[in-house]
Amino acid sequence: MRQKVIFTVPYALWILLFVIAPLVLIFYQSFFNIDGQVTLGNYATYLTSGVYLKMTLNSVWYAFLITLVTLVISYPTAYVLNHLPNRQFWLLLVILPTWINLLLKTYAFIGLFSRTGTVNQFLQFVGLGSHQLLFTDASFMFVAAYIEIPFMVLPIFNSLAEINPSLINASKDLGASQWQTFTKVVWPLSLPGVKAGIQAVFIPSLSLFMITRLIGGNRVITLGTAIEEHFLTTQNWGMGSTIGVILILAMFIVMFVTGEGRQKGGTALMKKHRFTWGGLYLALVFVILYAPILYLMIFSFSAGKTMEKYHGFSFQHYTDLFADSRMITIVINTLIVALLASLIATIIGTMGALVIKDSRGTWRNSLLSLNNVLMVSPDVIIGASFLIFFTVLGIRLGFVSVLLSHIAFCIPIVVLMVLPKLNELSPTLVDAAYDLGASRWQTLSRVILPAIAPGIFAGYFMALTYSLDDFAVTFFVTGNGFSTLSVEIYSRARQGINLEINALSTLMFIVSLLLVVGYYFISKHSGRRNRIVAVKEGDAQ
Amino acid sequence: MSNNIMEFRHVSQQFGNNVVLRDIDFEIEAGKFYTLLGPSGSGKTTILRLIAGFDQPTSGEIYFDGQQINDVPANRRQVNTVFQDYALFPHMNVAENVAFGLQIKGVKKAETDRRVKEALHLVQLDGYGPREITAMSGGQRQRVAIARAIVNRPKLLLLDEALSALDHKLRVEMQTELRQLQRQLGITFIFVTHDQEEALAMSDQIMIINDGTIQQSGTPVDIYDEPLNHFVADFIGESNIVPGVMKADYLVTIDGQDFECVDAGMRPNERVEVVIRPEDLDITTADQGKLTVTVDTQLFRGVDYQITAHDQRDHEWKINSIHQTTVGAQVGLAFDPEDIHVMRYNESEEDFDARLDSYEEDD
Repeated sequence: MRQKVIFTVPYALWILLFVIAPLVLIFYQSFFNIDGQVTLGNYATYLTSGVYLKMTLNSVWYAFLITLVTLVISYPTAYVLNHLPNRQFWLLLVILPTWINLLLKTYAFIGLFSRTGTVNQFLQFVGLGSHQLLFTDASFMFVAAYIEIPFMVLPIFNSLAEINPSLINASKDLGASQWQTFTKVVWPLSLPGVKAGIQAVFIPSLSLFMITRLIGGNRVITLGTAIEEHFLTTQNWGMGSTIGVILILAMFIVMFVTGEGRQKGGTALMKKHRFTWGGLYLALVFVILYAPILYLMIFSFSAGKTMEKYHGFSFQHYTDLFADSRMITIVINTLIVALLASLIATIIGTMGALVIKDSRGTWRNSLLSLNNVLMVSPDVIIGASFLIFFTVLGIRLGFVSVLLSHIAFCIPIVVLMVLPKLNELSPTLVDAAYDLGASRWQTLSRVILPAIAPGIFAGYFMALTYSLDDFAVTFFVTGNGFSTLSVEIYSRARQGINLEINALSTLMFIVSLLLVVGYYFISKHSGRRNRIVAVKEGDAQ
Repeated sequence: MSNNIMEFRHVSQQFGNNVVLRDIDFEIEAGKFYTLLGPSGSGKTTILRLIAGFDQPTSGEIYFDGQQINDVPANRRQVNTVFQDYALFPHMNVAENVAFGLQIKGVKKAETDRRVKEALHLVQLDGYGPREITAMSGGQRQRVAIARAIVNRPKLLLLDEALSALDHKLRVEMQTELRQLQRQLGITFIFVTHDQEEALAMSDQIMIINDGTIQQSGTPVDIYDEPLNHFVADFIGESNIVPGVMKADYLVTIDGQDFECVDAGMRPNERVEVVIRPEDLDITTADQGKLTVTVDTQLFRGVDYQITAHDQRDHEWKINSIHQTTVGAQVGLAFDPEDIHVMRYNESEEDFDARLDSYEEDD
């Protein structure tokens, strides 16, 4: 009994303080005007001014286009991937870019799309002339789609992989052509994956304010940008919260329409096919996925100061980077926050998973839903609601607020990584430990924890990368000069090209790569099933 | 007290509104091989979980070695279990699994090693200690699970459907081995199964459980030859059960035809059920048999033919015969008075035993 209480308290506190309270607060705040008076004025303004409605429609329209483009690119990618030998490896390659800081990828496009940038140089070379690419809606959509592709490929791939190959043989046996088999069997069976993909892409597309800012220019065109502007620039939290409530509503609508589309990794065996056209298509997707990253890395070794022309090999930017004491401090800050936050989140999250595992029925379902709130909420909502929360509690913005926020959004990740391992654990295993004389604590420490250790490690690792990578939440809740890498990259990128960032991104890419290899190693050694397909959804948000 | 290691007194178990055990009473004598036999959902696994201490009874008392142990948790009971799915710890190798209970008790390393080795020897897994569980076959895992339990020298070993995951041949082999192991160690075994052949083959004593009550307990031979009621007769072995009337002691009427039998002690003209085992029926010519039947089906099963037939009143008869017959033929069925077993409706086990004693003493 004591054990149960000890485990329940931290997790319950987290749910209360960081899941329920912020949501309540953002709703509550939406009824206050900028002078702190209770009012319905925010909603009235939203509905009548025309500006907000137009902005919402615009935002939804762009999100729709981004989702559509992403789907059109991703479905064939997932389909071809699924027919490759070693498909898990190729899938990993598609997912790999998601482990690279979102802001760095966005930053790469600033260089690529600039007036004298590489793309324009190419267009001039083929005689199409140079164009204004940066700060256009098209470039915003392109970059957003680029970022979201892996999040669409993964669920579709998983649902395709789950299709029993004998169903396809059965379809052919019954006389269906290749195309008929696809439209009548494969496509309907992969719909859950498509829905999950749409869910994973559409909501973030409504709220990706950093891409809008860096690539789309300063125009307010998405709900996310509007929230960020109201909270951090005009300080009209009431209006910002109102838009936040609208965004939450939109989120629920999308989730309702696309249903419960959560997908798990599957492992069905498929025949090895050789798809030449498919292979070509896939190669193209890989080029698009990796070109911006390579582009960044190449210019990090350029002696010049811009990403337009390569000026010869130099380590200059690396020397600058290591001499930049502000940057070094920020790297250390980021690491401290990430290590601490993921450690604490792993402890609380593991306890939470044990609590959920022991609960039953509706209680269990409510706990799971509450656990997942922060997983599905757009980062702007988390950031804005935490900002209100810290302000109400009088917690100074800075290291503490950032650390608490990171712990808060890492906990559900750990729970989701540990819980499947707990569910895999046969109940007789626990009985067997008691039967052999072990006490409750001995059973926990000698049987349960070792058996779920791979899940705990994976959870810690995922939490670590989420924390290292987070931009939006930190951006909202930081203050007093405290900064993390993502925030720093964002503010430097807003000032233009700085090849020190290229050097930094090269180093981060290598670190990410090592982390991924580490994670791959852990998951490969942890279970019967190779589950390398855990993506960082946070990136998409 | 006698040497009863385990005793249930008026034990009932209820989960919500679902009554799983009703007023169970039994005693387990030390050093014997017991089997709890019943169909799935009969409550046999619940009894096992109560003995092991995973659950507490809703009412009634459980005694272990003369001590009431209702509230003693599983980890403090001198009882070990071999689980149906073996429940071997996947993150430990064979030796570590077997050593687990000893390590928990704080047994010294040298002794632990010695006893683990000894236990692995007993289950014929010498040298398998460093193997990973995943590298072991189903039968080997079964042995590891047994070794892990017996290494603790429990007074009582519980085996929950322990052989059901094995294929037929391995199962039969393990039955012999388990029986040998039990004799060798002198530990009381309580084996839970739904497989009646397994129960008959291994046990000193069988308890037949159905619907949360003990239907009958006794030696395999007693239960097979003298089933108490319709359920037991039907569940253990194959049987022909037909309604009859007990005209007088040693005389029963089936459909107006009188048969000599060896049962007595009932009221005159009491309505009863008559059991005749298929292997006790011999096929002869129509005029030589006590009953005349028409053969409906015949299946060759290797050791014998399984034949079904019907008599003039449409009772179906199952016959196991080593001689072939012809489908559609009219044949006679012959049997001896000893082959007839008469069951009274709703007779309790006590009454049944008392009645048997009353007329067997007369002989």
